[in-house]
Amino acid sequence: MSVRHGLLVLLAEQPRYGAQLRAEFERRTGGTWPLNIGQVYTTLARLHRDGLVRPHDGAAGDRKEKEYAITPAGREELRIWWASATLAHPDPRDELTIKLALAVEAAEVDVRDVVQRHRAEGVRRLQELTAIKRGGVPDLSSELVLERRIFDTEALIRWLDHVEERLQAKEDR
Amino acid sequence: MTRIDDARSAVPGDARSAVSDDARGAVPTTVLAMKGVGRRFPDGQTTRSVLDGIDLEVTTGRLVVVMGPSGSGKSTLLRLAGGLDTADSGTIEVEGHDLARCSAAELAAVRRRSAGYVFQELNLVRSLSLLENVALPLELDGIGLREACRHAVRALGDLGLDENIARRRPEQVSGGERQRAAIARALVGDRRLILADEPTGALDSRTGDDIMRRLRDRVDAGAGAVVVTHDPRHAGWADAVVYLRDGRVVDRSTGGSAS
Repeated sequence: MSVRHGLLVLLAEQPRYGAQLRAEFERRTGGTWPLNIGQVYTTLARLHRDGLVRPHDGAAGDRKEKEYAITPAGREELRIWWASATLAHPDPRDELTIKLALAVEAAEVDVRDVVQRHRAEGVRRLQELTAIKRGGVPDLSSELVLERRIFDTEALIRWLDHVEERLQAKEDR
Repeated sequence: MTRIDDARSAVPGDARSAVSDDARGAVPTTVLAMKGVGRRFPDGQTTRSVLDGIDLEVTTGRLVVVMGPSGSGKSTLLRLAGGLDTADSGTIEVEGHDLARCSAAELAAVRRRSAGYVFQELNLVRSLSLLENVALPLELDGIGLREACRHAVRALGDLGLDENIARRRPEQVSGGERQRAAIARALVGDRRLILADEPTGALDSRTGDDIMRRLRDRVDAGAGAVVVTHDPRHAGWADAVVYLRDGRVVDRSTGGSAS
């Protein structure tokens, strides 16, 4: 995802200033994607260049900062974005995946130890994430972002369990 | 000998634990101590080791999760800790009672008074209300009905089940409520050790999280728990995680930062 679409989502609700966009984007993404104000203005300039946003005149005229509003073309861009599936492909060259693939035939390591080391680290991360969740998160958006990390970590551990079972089955044959 | 560290000493810097200790204002006490525990099962003409040299100490305020592949000995460990099976070697103490030295009657008393067990299949009595199910172990222990019900209401309330739900039978409540009732039954009265075998069963992740959160709260309020699971999600709620493979401990994870 690009910051472009994030800003368009917020501008589709109401015209906003750069600083407002920055604060709102950070809040709505559970604090996982802090933007610097320069990034916000660069993105707004590009959105303006592409005709997706325009400076908005409705605000107090003496304020130096520009307020921006979404254009009809911006709404169309956003409609297409909402309507498209944005699933990322798992990286087949992910380092852990490659490490374990190599460990299967490597003589100098016990692949089950490699599995366990990563599983233990995954569990440690799950403990951290669960502690954050247990401490309370301010809103549903933040909670969903946090839970995505929990599910991802959980999936990794499940895959490691699967690897261990496959290794055991191979050994038992 | 395989070692599982004391679940308390395994997490020296765990802020969550420190808070809970302060909140209770109580010194953690050992509720389960397993030392050098082994168990063998017959296998044809010979025997097969299912657990070997297990050391595990659980104190109040600590939740220990035991993970491992099928056949690694997880459930056997839990059954031994709950006095539902007998070890071939080593010692197991529940709140200071050496299980090997207990008569059958004493063992039953330990199970009623000290160690509560949450079975995978829950084992709630279908013809009884949740309240009656939870009060049952106290009644069996000779506590009067009124007093037993008072404790049961409190145990159910601690797990978020009000008196209206408590009056219903197991099939009249949701899966999550049944699970919570099973945990309440395990902890009713003064029992301070909870032993749970896959306590969230096939519940969806949100209900499962709710069960673990309530179990965690109960532990923080002064119980110790051992949870056997294949679900990594549960490990997130633990102070310590131990991994079994072929009846031995291969590793442990300690608590993460609470920040």
